[in-house]
Amino acid sequence: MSLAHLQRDFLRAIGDVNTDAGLRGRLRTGSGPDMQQRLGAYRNNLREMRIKVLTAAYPVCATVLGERYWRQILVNSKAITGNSSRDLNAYGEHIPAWLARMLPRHPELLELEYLPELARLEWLVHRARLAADASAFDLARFVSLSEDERNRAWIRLAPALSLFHSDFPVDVIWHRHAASGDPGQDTVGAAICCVYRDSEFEPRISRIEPLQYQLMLRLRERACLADLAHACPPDRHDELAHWLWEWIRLGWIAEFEERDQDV
Amino acid sequence: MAAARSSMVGPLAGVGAGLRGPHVPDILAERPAIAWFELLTDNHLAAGGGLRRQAEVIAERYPVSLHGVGMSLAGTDPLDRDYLASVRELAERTEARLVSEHLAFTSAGGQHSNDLLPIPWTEEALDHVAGRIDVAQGVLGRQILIENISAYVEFTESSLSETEFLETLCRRTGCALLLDINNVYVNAVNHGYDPSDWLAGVPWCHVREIHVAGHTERDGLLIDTHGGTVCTAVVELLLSVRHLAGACPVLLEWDTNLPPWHVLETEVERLQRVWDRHQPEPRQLWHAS
Repeated sequence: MSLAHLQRDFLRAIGDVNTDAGLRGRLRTGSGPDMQQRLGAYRNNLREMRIKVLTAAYPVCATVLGERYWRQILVNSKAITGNSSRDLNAYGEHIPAWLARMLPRHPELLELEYLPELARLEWLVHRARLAADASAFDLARFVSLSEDERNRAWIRLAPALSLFHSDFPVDVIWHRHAASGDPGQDTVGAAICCVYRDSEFEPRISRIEPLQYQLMLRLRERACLADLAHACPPDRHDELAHWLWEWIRLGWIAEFEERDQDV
Repeated sequence: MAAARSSMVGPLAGVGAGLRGPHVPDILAERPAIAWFELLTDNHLAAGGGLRRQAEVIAERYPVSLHGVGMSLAGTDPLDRDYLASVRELAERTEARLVSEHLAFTSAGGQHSNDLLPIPWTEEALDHVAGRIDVAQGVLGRQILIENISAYVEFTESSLSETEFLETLCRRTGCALLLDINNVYVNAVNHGYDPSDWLAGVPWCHVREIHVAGHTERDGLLIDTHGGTVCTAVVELLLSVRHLAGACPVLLEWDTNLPPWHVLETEVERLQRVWDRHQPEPRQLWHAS
């Protein structure tokens, strides 16, 4: 049997206790622990590593559920799936959907119906931590453009910035429990937020107005300044100008790209 | 300042510590007299953010090496050239003195274990791994060090000893060895042989770095957890090869049950004292060569 077959059988065997038939006769069974105990060491390593990674990506979900219950439910409700990425930081995107499927089967968690939304927010925070650095917005160059050139320029959001909208005020729960949260925030109602990274590389969550959310969605779709002005009610153009400067100051807007007239 | 700069060039020496994120604030605040740090390559490959910056900040202050788990050098899935290129970029950015990986596979059939898995010591595996090390060294543009792993199983089809396998790999590819003494001990206990016999087969001319760590007993097996101080048996094994190791740098790995920085620092200092006290006499070095 080839090395490739052996490796696939090995990975299958340590992923599931019932699939080690391909390895029988290929592992030395001398004195000491038997084959199951030895494969068990790998199974245990795999499980513990993934629990550790998921707990690091979803620390607030783990806190809300209680570390012991979180661990128990990850193991018992099949949250620990295979991983198709070499990068462990990419592991765990499935957790919000898994929580949404799992919750109805757990009456003891009825009061925590917001949990999948909280997880969705935590994943954005996790990704913000690792996103590419943004280059600083070149304000001097931007103001040197003609008004027409400025209106045509594509404005880019920082790679670490993402937008979040939920009917549940899960950002308040995040602020209450997260290491970099601001426990003083007790806003109620739907969460319309911007997830970003501050100058110390710490992820932050800020509430934004619904109009700001809509305008930033447009920016994410490569809107230019003229598009933004068009999408913003005329009686709020002064606010738009103020927001743009504020977004540049906060590093939410990273750069701009000049666009030819005929594009 | 001149003294500090002089330690930033030349080969690594003395006992270093594996860098772990929670310790970085203390390290930057206290500037401990640690000889060098080893960065876990895969922790610092993100496109941006604090972990990427952390590697640069530490490398500005200390000599560093890179130690990775993601190459899957013994794997049969295609080598990830983008990953290799990002390791090269990190090595250049941090001016890493050494770049090391494991003699293991970590993925198969597109699924990743993110754990170091063993291979049989066969001619087929030797040809396969040697080819991949050639490619990896080509993309990295430098020699890599290959570490012997902890393996909880052995394969019936192995036709070579592990040390024969390692020696041939080095000879064929020009790679070097990172000898993990804790892994030697863990494997010897788990498979019932004398670790000194294993060490007697080590091709010392290829060894460029040594690792030590703590381990844990679980269900009748020693598990390579990197979760505590280095036990007496492993320190004794380390000292038994002191005269063969020459000026090899030694590294303490501590990953689980991570203690406060000062505890890890104390353990590094203890190992440094022991390592210095057992410096070989010139006569021993002559015999070793």
